[in-house]
Amino acid sequence: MTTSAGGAYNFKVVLLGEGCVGKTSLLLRYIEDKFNDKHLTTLQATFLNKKININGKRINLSIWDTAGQEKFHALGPIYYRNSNGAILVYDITDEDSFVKVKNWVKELKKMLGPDIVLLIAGNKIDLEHERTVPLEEAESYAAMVGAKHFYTSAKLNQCVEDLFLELAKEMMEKFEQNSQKEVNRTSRVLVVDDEAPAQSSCCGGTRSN
Amino acid sequence: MAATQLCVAKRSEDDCATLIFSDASYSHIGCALGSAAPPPSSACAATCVCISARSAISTGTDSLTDHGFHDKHIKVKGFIWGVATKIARTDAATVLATVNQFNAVSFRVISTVLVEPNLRPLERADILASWLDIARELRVLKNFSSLKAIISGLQSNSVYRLRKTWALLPKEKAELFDELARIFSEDNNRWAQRELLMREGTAKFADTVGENDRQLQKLLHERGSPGVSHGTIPYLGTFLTDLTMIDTAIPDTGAANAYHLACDPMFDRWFDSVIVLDDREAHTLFVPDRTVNESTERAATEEGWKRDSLERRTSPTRLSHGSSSSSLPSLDVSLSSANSGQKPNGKAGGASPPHAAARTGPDFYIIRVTFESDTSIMLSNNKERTPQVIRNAMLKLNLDGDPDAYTLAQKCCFQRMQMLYYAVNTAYNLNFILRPRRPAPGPEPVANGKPRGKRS
Repeated sequence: MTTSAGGAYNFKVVLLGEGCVGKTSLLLRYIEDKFNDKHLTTLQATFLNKKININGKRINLSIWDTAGQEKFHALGPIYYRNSNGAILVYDITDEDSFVKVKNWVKELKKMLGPDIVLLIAGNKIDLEHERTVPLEEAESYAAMVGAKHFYTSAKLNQCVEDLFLELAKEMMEKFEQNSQKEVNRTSRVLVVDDEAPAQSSCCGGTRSN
Repeated sequence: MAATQLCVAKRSEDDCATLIFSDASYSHIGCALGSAAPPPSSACAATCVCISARSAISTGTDSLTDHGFHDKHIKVKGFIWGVATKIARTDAATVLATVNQFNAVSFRVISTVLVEPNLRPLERADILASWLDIARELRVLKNFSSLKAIISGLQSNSVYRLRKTWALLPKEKAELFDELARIFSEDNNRWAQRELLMREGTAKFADTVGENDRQLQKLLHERGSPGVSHGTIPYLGTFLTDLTMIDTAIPDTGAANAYHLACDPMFDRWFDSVIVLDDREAHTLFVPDRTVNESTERAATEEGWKRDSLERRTSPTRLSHGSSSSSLPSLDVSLSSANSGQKPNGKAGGASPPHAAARTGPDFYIIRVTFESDTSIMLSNNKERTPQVIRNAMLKLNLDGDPDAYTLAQKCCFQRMQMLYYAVNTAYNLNFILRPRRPAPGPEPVANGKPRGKRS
């Protein structure tokens, strides 16, 4: 959720991509210190938190990872609902994983529209010599869908920090923009409210979920 | 209503929970279960939904607890590995089967709700209600895999967006959906389903309901004493995620690294050499007379021993009393034609026959003895003590050391089978294997100029 209670931003981030592209490796690399000397149960986690500071603003990232469940047709809207950002990870040595990224972009754009910040990460650049996803293709695709593209290596700890930092910055910007819009909209609604309460009854009742 | 069939079967013999539900219009299930659902229309006529938790076989609690968990862990890791390398690995087959079953159910939920474009929202709501009834039964059966498959199907984008349809769902069904969905909530690291598994994993009945689970409370109350439901089928995805996390964070899982046991090559060699009998062999192996069957060892995988596999079965040269001496030259020929790796063997030719000849009995046997290479020695029938035979063989093979440090075994007709030598068994070819008895009693014996083969 994006509430900035107590001056801190809380952002939900989902990691998406095919199995074995290195989502969990990226996540664990990023929050590595959290695991030192901790019991294994720490790892029974749907999401892991990382607190960062950008320009004096405190940001709490809840990073969700359901690695291992890629083959289950179970990661519906419930999973990425209310997420502020998504990192779509593919393996540069695996073309199929890049196709999967395209599918995720399509689905997220359709379901969440512009509300979510998307980043694309080509992981495993330590295996550059085995690359099968052409560099130009990946970058031009990312540019086309308006997502920044990163080359990462969880193994060598390359660009992992940058990836999450960029995402945090973009989510912060989007949040600021939206709250600005929200202010505008609220003031407009107030004017309307004076005349007649707006009712959207076309869909009938609402579900309790 | 009469045509409605709801068959909830749970077969213990194959640990397979099956929920079969068939009807001309399966929304009748509501009636069958005692709710007031109206007879539906039906679009999904003749649809037979069979949610067979075949996955139970692979994901039954047994395989996920205790020692079975380790096996599952391996399979799961195999699965992860298999995905990575795009190789369908057979040892992850149960994991794949579970996933496929899950998806099969989930896709059927989606398609049955959406396949008829002309349904009125109320009719479509009936289909949702039917699936919720099935889901409720699965909850009672503790089949969390198929339960989640249904919930996931209902939560998929294409179904979830049907606001009018969902709005027409009876209130208690909507509540039921919330309660069932709450089981798989991602809150608190899926606390709900972990807790549920802890409590009901090995329990006989489903009896865990939250304070807010009105519908489930009602259900369990109505059922009174539930039918016996022994198995629990968890949703495998939770474990896959946990294992992926653990595997990524700690590639070499910790506990195993705490062991620092020195490798014992002799033990390993023995362990590897023990053959595993199939039923037929185990049955026919026992030869009651004469054979002391203390040790049945598999023929060696060592380089040198392998050379003498039974495929190269040479018939024993059984010699009559009178013809024994005439065959001796051929013995030496076979020796000299042995492996080129041998160092020149000066004394072997003349050394052994006198020993054997000195104890001439009614019959002689020429037996073939293999250590690193083959040789043949003469054996008088059942008169020679084992140490003497070993000594002869060692002499012939140019081995130094104490004969007590070696054992001699005769190969049997069963493949790769030997019996320790006590007396020659003429029912089999006279092929013997000589090997060190225990870890180097003295300096490592050297055969034919090269050290004994190391396990690869």
